[in-house]
Amino acid sequence: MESTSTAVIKLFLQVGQLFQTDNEIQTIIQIIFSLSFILYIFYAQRIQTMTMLRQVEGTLRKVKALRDEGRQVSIQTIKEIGKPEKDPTPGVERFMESFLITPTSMDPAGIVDKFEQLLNTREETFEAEVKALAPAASDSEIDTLENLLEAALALNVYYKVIRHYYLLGKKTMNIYVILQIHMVLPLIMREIEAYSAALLAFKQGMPIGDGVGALTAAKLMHGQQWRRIAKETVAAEGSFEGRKILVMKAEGPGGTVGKPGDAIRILLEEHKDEVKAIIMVDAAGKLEGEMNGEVAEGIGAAIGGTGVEKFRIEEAAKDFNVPLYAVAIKQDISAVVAPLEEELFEATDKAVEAVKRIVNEKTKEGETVIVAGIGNTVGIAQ
Amino acid sequence: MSKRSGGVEYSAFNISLITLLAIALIGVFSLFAIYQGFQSYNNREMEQAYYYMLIGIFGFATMGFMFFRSKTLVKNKLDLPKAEVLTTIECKKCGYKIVRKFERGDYIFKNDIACSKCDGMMTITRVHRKKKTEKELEKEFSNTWQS
Ligand SMILES: [Zn+2]
Repeated sequence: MESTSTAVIKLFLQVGQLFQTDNEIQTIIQIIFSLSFILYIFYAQRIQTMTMLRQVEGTLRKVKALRDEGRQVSIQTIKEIGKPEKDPTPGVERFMESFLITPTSMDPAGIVDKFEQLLNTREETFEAEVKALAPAASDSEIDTLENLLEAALALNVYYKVIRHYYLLGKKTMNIYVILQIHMVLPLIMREIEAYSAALLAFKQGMPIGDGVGALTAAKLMHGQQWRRIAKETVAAEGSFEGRKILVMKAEGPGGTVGKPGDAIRILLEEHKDEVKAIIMVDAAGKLEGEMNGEVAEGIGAAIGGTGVEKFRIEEAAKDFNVPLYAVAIKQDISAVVAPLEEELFEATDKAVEAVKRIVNEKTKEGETVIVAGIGNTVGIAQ
Repeated sequence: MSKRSGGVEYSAFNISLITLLAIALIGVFSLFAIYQGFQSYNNREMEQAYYYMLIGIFGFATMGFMFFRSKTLVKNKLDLPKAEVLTTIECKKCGYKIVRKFERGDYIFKNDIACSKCDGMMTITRVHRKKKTEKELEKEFSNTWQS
């Protein structure tokens, strides 16, 4: 910006010098040039502020359209699946305005338990509300509808935050207020576009990019007898080259992530000293330039979200002294909640191979391994 | 879902009166500058003619920029992601395989679909989007840096 303006100034000076005052018209043009120049010196920042404000406004209109689309899709889908007796619009609108107050971290001891309790309450409230809105929906459909409404809620929050900064900027005409939203807007837009793709997936109950972990687990446990071991979480027992494999994932095909923290602890308690490794498979954000569907291996608890489940898993692994291995399937943020891409579907085969190799390398025959497929299992059974 | 091709329309900026006036003013000045340029050219004042022409063209370029920017914003339309999702259904018994568009109620490892070729049951083995075309991949230009 600075260099272009100096270049423009230089150009104008040169042009001005060439107009030797031969007649009046040339004088007028020279005056206009000098004037526009002085104006630019004094009002450059204001012009920039107004330009930025205009750009934010354009984006805001787009986000509003997406927010309205989210609400529309939610209401329409509830009507189609849930067959409610009365209009679900007020219920959906109330849902889109709901919020969660995170516990204070001033005294952080025990904050995970507090947070978990709040999240459980939220989950139960959401579930009950969706059940009331859509009485004809099955349990798995209710899970998916919950996801749909949460995507609509997220779009609403994005819209309201951008609108806040836009209006505040317009009120104060302060470049730094507007700059705050203007400079993060391209990154926020990527997230917003991802959520709008989620509407499409959750409306129909399609598998999403985040489901690659659950799909990997599903491929490992398909055809075996499975049982429910924690809320919305299932596990199956299989074997591979003399090792016992305990595979767990969220219970599909509804849209849920289950309770992997509880499930892993229960499996560890059931099999105590036999378990020699926990392998977690999850979707991971890729850096620009990395390939979509790249499979990488590492150490640690591969799980995103609020951090509560991660804490539970790490604690369980520590208590039973079992090493945690991670398999990550890399994907772009735009793919995470969008309908599953073919590259990612194929990547789950590579992830299955990676899991098998880790089992081979890290454990001996007769030992037990837990494989946890993390992620939203919408559109993926077991 | 892929039937919806229109996307979401939303209102955007209309060209304002002030912008129109500004464009008109620039237009008058540009025309005048070009006229002066021709006059200078006739008087064999080549250097002056050149600069007048430059100003005129610059003015018209500014006008065009202002006008088209406002215009493209007016007919803004939001392209919602259109994803063609395919479902693959296979019969384990006879190997019969169907690939069709995704329908609500499909999910991976759904296995209670009767086979139309034999008396076995079919299982949904794959649900995913169509692979991206080269063109789409090119658009995500980070692709060229993959190694
Ligand atoms: Zn068959």
